Amino acid sequence: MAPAYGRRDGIAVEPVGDFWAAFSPVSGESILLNDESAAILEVLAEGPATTQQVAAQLALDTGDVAADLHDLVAGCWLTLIDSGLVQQLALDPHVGP
Amino acid sequence: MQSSSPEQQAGRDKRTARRRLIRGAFGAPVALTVFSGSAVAGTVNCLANPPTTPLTQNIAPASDSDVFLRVQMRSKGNGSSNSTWVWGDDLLNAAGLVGKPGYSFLNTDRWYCVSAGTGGSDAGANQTGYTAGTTYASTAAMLTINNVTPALLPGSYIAVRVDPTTGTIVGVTNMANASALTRSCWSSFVKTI
Repeated sequence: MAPAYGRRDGIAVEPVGDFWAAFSPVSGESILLNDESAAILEVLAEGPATTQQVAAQLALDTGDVAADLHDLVAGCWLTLIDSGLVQQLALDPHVGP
Repeated sequence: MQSSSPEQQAGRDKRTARRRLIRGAFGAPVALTVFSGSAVAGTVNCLANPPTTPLTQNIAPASDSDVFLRVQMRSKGNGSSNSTWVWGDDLLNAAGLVGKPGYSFLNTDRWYCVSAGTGGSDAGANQTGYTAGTTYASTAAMLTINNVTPALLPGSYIAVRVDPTTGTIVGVTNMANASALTRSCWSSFVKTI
């Protein structure tokens, strides 16, 4: 079973020029995001999802092949979790938008 | 014309970042903590120029069981060619090992020299006379002169390989080469064996 990831409650994301500023009440820090990271949070706003599910959603937006985005998405979780924006949830293959 | 409800507005805004994604050019997701001053400029550069594919740092581990810790770097100097350091206490916090015995490096307030400076040996200078890759006690001269210790480098992190049985640092990758981003930007790395 693949791990699922969920967006933390209470985070605020606002556009700042070409980037996005996110505040996490968990870390108490403000974090700058690029479009890719902000897009992942938007996907998770629709519900918890696995890496594969997030990649599939974003592939629909970009026209990429989902498999090509898988490693990029997988590589971002640690940073987003450390930033207090995302949490890893219990293993559940059925979650997702 | 009717004004839209907050729910309708939220619905329109919800996919804004996804709409901004460039078709066929999904880059690496980047999230960096905002610091004040010049670090902000560096952060923006990191965000604006992410790699399009994850880059891996080639590290030659002694074994599969090596432990890697991401720790914030420290530096000391007067602006150019500063010396850079890893502090044992920072490692201790990163590893969640505060108060736990058995980690010789982490428990003894030691300093690991990542790179030596070139600007002199007075309190505010870059601290020559130290060798990169060597561990020094907190009683070393550079740590005692005027009580000026290396300060945290905002946004600069380093991968430190630690022997899990002794707690000693057995390797440091400063990401100077084949870096995912620059040393001041990277937030993760992939171990290749």
